[in-house]
Amino acid sequence: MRGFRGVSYNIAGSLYGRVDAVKSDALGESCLVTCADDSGYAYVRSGSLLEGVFLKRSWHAHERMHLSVGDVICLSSDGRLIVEYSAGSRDNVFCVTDRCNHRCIMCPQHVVISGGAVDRYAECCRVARLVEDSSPLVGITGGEPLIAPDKFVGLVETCLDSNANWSFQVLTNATACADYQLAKQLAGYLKGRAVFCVPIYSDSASVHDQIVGSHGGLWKATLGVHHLACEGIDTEIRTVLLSHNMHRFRSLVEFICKNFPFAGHVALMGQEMIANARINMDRVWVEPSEYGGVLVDAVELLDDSRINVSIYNIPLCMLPENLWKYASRSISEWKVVHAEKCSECSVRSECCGIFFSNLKYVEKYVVPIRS
Amino acid sequence: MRDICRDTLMNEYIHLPFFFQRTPYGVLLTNDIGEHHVLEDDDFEKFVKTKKGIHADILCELEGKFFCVKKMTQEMIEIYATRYRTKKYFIFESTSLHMIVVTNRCNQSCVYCHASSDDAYMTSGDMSVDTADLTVKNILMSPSRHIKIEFQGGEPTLNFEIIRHVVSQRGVLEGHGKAVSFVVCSNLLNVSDEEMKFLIDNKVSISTSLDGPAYLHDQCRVINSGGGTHDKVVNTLSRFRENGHDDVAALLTVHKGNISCLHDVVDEYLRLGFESVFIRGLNPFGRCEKNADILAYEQEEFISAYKNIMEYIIEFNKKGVRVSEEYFSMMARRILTPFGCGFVDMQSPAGGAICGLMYDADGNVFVSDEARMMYRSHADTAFLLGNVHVDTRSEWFRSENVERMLRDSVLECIPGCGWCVFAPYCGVDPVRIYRDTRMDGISRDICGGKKALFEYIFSKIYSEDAFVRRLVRSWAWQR
Repeated sequence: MRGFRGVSYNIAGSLYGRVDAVKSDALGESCLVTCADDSGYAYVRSGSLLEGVFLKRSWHAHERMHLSVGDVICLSSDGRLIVEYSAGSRDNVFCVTDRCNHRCIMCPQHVVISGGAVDRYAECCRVARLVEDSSPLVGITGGEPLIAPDKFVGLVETCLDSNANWSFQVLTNATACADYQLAKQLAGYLKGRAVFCVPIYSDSASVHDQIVGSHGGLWKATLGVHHLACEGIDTEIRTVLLSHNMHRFRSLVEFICKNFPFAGHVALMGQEMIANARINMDRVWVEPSEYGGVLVDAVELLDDSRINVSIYNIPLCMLPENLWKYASRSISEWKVVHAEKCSECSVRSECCGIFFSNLKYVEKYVVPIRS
Repeated sequence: MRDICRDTLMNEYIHLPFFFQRTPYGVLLTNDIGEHHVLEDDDFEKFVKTKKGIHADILCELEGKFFCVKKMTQEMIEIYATRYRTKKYFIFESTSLHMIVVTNRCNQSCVYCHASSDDAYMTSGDMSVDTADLTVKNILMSPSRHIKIEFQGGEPTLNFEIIRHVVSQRGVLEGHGKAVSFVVCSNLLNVSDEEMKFLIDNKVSISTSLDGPAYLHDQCRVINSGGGTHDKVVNTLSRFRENGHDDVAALLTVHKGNISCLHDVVDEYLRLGFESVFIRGLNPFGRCEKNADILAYEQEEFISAYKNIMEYIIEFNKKGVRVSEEYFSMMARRILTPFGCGFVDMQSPAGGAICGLMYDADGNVFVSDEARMMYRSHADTAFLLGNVHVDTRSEWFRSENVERMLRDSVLECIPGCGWCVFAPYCGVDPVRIYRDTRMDGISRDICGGKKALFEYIFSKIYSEDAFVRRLVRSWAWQR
């Protein structure tokens, strides 16, 4: 999500709106914003001011920036402008809550453990109502988005009420769907419109539960995925390469083949060294030099089992060349960086790049590819 | 991490039910959902007795394969049940294979024919339109959504009108929400251009018999007047392919005359463009029973021939030639994937009636092909269910014959089978066992033969050669 700092005028609390007109000039850019609930208009200006006084609800930053028609933004009284939804983008995310029932050892987010947890389902509903794209795609994430199932359903209902063409990618641990009734209810709205992406970190329940910090986590997640699939919802299994599962990664992949043979896709992911992952780095980190053989083996098993597989978050120069075709440009634009050496690389444009938080750990492994 | 394992899992775990057997490469463990693992003797002892000192990784492995759990939870039991249902899916699917004998006449008189076909010129053995209609009506009553109709004989193409008639009912079957496929089991001796066009236009699969090159094929597969049939089969096969129809499969029957020449058979299959061969033993019914002196081989002979030919097949794959063996692939699928596979002669309970039904030309209905042979050869009605002219599917399924056959074929309850390490992958053919004990008065060691093959297959699954391990896994997951 893109965010900007500026000054808000005549705005109390948070104001949601959609950019309905954009006009660039030599000195900056002006936007007309239609506010939520038909509550009138607001004015956004970046660059030099054209007039002296803001009489209406307005926001201004001296640094020039760009918004597009259809972008949904949130203006706060403290001067923040957040682009909640970028028109036409396939990278939009609704982060619906900070809360989670898991405490993953390598979680790249600051999950609020108790007190002060923020749910944003209602705010996401406001954003959804403003979206005007013809077929919007959004990732729903958290925390754990299904931690408040009723609110989750409310959000999906809101989206589909405003436009039947919404589709969703739900990043969930699926444990809530161990309750069959919930899976069934979700299917009523989401069958054919959503992919549920569920992380499985080990074939051993003890190890998986240890990683996610929750007893019974593996069985609940597995059962949840079974229930979703049984109701016809598309599922994807995701796993992260950790020091906990690296030495038995093949067994994990066999477990996926045998317990989720219906999965539409399996993603094998590199870690993002931020938040919990950074704190626990000495326990979870795997040097990229150890990836190669493990991934070759895993991809081969999944391929032989006719299961689609991709590799996320690992730069091409840290993968054997025969795995390049499985690698995906998976890192969101606002998180990605490149090493200096990358400018000499001939496959830079096909590469996922490096998480900004990982750069200092993996920079020494960057080897520019010369064609 | 290993320390964490020891603390959390490894001092206390609960065993889940498993089978085991000592093998040259360690103790083989299996369980009801088809998972398997090999432990060294020492680790096995520690595992069984919940002793300390077993490596945490080994326990993790056993946990992931459902041999032990730290704590029994409702969710875990539900997942185990799902895996078990997946293996036994055929019980829920209901009868999908429907074999129709459109005629008992045949234009060949194969030495090992287990169907004991009639002469080509008698017409009394033909199915009538009336009987065919009643048969289709009963097929419609099967709850299965996937219907496979297999035309058998005799030589089914000798009564092509009935094939045409039944295939033309495709729309009726599909109208009832069923996906339908047709197979004709033909010796390919007498397929006219017009008939071939009909089969191709209607996407009817062909299953033929091929015993290898001419010198082997023509030993047993001869026309009534005595000549060989190899050239004719190969010729018709290429006519089908020239017309763009690749859906032709071939079956081999192993007997005393070719058991030592199976490599020539494989060469011939490859030469003709097949990518798999089914090393299928004799079925001791009909003429095969009568000609046992010239056909029968010792079981040990079959097992060693099987192993030899598998090594030959593996070598081809190492050279980059794709070829597999059907029985091996089916068993590998059972062992290495979460799925079962349709093989009515070898599942528990047996596939008779619940997976496949055999409709004879006169309307008699049997649990399987072998059951029909028992009736034709020995007038034994133990596996006869009824007749399409007299009763209907619901009565057949309530008959004592079906109940007895199913009850007697549940491996899990058979002494000796119930605790066999291969039980999760095995099955019995109750008709065959009934025949062996009734007719010969002895129980042949069918079990010993199957076990030897399982042992061989497992030795490949746990092969030291990574290429072999991957090859076997790819056979299991193909299709």
